[in-house]
Amino acid sequence: MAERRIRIDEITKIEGHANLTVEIEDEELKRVIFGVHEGSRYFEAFMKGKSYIYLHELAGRICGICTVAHELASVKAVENALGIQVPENAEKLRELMLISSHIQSHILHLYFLALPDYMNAESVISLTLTHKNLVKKAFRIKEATNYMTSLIGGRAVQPCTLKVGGFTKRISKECIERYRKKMKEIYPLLVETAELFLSLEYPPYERDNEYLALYNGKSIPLYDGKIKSTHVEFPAEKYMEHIKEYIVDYSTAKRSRIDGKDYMVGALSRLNLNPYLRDEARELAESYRISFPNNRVALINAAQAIENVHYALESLEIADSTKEYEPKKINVGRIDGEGIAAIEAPRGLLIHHYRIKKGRCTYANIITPTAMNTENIERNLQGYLSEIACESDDVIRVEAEKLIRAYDPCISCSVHVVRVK
Amino acid sequence: MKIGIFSLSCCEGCSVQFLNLEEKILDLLKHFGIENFRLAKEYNEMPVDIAFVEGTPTNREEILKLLKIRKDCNVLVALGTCAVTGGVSAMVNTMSKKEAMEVYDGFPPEMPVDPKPLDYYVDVDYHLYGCPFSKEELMELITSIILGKKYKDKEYSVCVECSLRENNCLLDQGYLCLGPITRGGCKALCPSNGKPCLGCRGPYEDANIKGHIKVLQDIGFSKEEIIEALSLFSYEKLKEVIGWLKEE
Repeated sequence: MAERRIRIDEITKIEGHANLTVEIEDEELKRVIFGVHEGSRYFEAFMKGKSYIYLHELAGRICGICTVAHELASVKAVENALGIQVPENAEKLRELMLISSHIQSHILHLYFLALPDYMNAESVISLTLTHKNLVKKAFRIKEATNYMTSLIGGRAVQPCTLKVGGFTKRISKECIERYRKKMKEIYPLLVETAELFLSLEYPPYERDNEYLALYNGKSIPLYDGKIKSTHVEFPAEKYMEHIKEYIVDYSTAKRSRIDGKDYMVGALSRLNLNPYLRDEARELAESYRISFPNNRVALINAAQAIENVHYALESLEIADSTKEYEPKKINVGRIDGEGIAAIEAPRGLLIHHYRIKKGRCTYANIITPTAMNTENIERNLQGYLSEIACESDDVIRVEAEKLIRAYDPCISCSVHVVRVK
Repeated sequence: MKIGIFSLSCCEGCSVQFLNLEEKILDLLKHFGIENFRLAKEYNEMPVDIAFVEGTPTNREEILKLLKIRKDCNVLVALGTCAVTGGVSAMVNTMSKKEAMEVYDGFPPEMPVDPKPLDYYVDVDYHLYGCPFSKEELMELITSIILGKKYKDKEYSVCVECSLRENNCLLDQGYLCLGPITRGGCKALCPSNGKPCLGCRGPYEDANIKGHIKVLQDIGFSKEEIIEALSLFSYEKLKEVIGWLKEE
């Protein structure tokens, strides 16, 4: 009997620390273990007892890539808990900030983490030698989107202008105009990026996954909406009735199921559940014979690139209709309450849930996209690798990494949140 | 010269901030080879000349990793608040072990380790302060190393930089601002955006912390509020004064 064990102690080019073990016997896949070995940071523990004014500041520190999404989900949950109304222009500015940070995150993932696999390159650093202009393009988009986020957020990593009820600073019409201009400037680069990522040869593996994303029946929402999966639809407040978390012994990260099934969140889920791509983006994808809904898992990469085009156009429209923001004194109606918020982070649905008593947090629960995706990643690795189990160790290693990286997993997020009973 | 960027438990925002140097990285590559950077590279090698380390160990494995990095580099740079002070993670040290273990229903996957500043475990040659660190300061540090010059920490407060920018004082407006005791170098980014300084860069050498606590109490902040603010980013560096304030 020929037994093989393929082990990757530290999967590179993903955010955080994870490992993979594949066991094959007589060219048949026996076991796949996608383990996480990052230390936990007890966020939900030390959030307890903290004043509601600090929760989003702490939440931002869960993840350095999707800090905007964490801060927004957190501040929204607090606002829901305390019944605080946010002015419409502040909501729009938050959405603009979320869009530029999404594009930034997608670009980082697409060019820096995923692309080397498809160009036979070791890393983006080696791509600087062979494809310098491509790397420069990635840096240009990243710089522009970071600039856009900081126009509203003060800075791109850990923005510092959000507060419960709105923003800490005045955001002028001129500032919004600069955002719009910059987005327009990089739009052609986003189209070129989409063309590149629509033309790559992805692993062919398909599975009829359960998908989950925000939904509003008219657009592809990031900031607000109901939660919809392939089979059910429910308001965010009811997440606990459907989404259940559990622990496995080989991982420090929690996992989650919806109504007993593994599920996928992220760019592909958003496009699969929301058939509202803007014509420009949809036609671009179709010109490469890619359409959504689509069950080919590695097309998450292409979905991200298409989203960039879609959301860039959305942001231009939002910017056009956003009035300048003047900070006002926030009226905190009550200091006790419970609040839940769900928003779309770059990697998928993100839920923040707090109970607040006398202005202080007494309970925090945060479910991150990667915690939602982990079981789905493992299931799809099983599916794909069993199709190619007769291949060499090297091929299996490379293909497994391609599939894992497609999800753009964010391990820091997934382990930093363990619920306090 | 070879450099490495290493990550212990943290949000990895400082690695992201490193990549946010954008095209300047291409200039850096003229002087340095990036030999170790797990976030961006498949093959990662040791030893390196300069090791940038973000995050802080939260388990035994990570302590061993840090010790090995120290052994295999010439210059070790603590990159960002978690590495410099233990960061927000260190707030777990304010809780009892029993309380912390309850997070895992009393059965943690491994013995948790208190998050500490890197200099609790190893010698640190340079500190880059802030959550995230400042890109300007990183470039200053790298330039100093290339030129063989000594890099100096800013030994003045955020308050000084804030005054230079002629911002309206947030303390005067009744906010709990830590600008007067926090190390400068961020150009008072948060107060300039209307947000009080949360002290993410930690206290500077000559900070009059007890004096500032008195100021905050005179404004009307309670002991609990002041302890909470001081603990957010620098619990490990300020725990003596926090202990004193509790007893007061």
